[in-house]
Amino acid sequence: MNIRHGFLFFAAMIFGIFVMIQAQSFKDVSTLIARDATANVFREIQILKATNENLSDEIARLEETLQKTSDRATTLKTIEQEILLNRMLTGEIEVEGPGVKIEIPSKLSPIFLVDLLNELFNAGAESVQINGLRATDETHGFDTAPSGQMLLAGNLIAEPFTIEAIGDPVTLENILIQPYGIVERMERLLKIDVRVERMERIVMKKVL
Amino acid sequence: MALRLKIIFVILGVLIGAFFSAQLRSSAPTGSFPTDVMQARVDLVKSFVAEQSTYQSRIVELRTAIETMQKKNEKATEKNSLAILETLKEQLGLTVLKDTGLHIFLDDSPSASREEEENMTQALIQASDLRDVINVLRVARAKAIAINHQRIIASTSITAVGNSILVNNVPLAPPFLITAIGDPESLARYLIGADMLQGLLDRKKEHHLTVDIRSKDALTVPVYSGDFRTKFLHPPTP
Repeated sequence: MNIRHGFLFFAAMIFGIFVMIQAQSFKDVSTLIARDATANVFREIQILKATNENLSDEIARLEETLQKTSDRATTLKTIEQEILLNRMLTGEIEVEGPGVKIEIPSKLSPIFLVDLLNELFNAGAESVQINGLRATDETHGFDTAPSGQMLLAGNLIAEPFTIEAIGDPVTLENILIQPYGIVERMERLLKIDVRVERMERIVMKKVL
Repeated sequence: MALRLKIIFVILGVLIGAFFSAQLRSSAPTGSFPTDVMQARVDLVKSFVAEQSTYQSRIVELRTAIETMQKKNEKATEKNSLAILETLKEQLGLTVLKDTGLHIFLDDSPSASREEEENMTQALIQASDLRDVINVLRVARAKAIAINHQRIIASTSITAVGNSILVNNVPLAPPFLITAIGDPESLARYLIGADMLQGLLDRKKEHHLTVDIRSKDALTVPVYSGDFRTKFLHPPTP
């Protein structure tokens, strides 16, 4: 073996390292393109723990409601409170609260909005609207019209898209802008700039 | 001979470089530690799921008890209020719905295993597949939808963590039975013609996933047994 062979070996070794780095970057791209992120498996435990805490809080709230409902004097008041709460959730009345605003400047396929709303609700969003139209049980479902325009529950919505979500602004923003998150995916795949902004007050009109 | 030696050095160099790079990135521990940790994780998930199931049953029980008490105190309340409340509860998924509709049955490829397959393989039903089917059913105006007895509401999230799928943050395992109440013909037409589902139907052919749609006369969609988050949501301040 001489020096020339040594250099050849060293160069080949460097080439091998670059090949592995490139292979890893292909894996990173496929991770980015995939619609379901590769989350740490221990994330499942975090989610279940948080969910059980929320369910436990809901039980406490319902037990209190049951106790008040058992008392004739307070029954009507608890029903009225329940009606108000349900009206907020169904979109029958206007609501407001802090949250985030997401601005998407260009056309996009319905699957991105399906995934974006899923991510927002998964992050704890309490109400979401797209271009001023609230996504409720009665007004949900993204489709494409024959003209190519986006439809939400049969209503035409056009770019630029403004999605507003009421919830914890910090949590919502962090989930959206995390590495390999929905915003990065949209920006890389669609070659656009998506703007995410925390809002102190978002007003959502009632669903007509 | 010299050329052969050079080729050997090049191949050896590339292999050693690739191996070296892979080793630097690898964080595989030795010993039984990862197996013990994974077993602990499985046990912890099982205990959380059992707790979750208990909580959800309790929630349904309490909501039923509240409704019974409200009707019992009907004289103290306005009948109109109860009727309004009932309508709102139907809209929110807080009542059982029984009617005609569709069963959509989705399952992984018979040759795939969630325990062994690398994450997001095309031979497994993905969370995104379920989201797309639900979206199409909503476009088709299904009156009520459930996945493996989990009621789907506006704020339902369907996500993947590893190879597990969470619906309403409840882990579900395949096969996935989606129950949709509505006009069966109209729902089926939307599902079969949906551009959004073409990827799933292509994978059905290529990887032998199960995607089966059946019309049914008597279907039941259960109540939503989770919580509603209203910590930040409130009526406008005057």
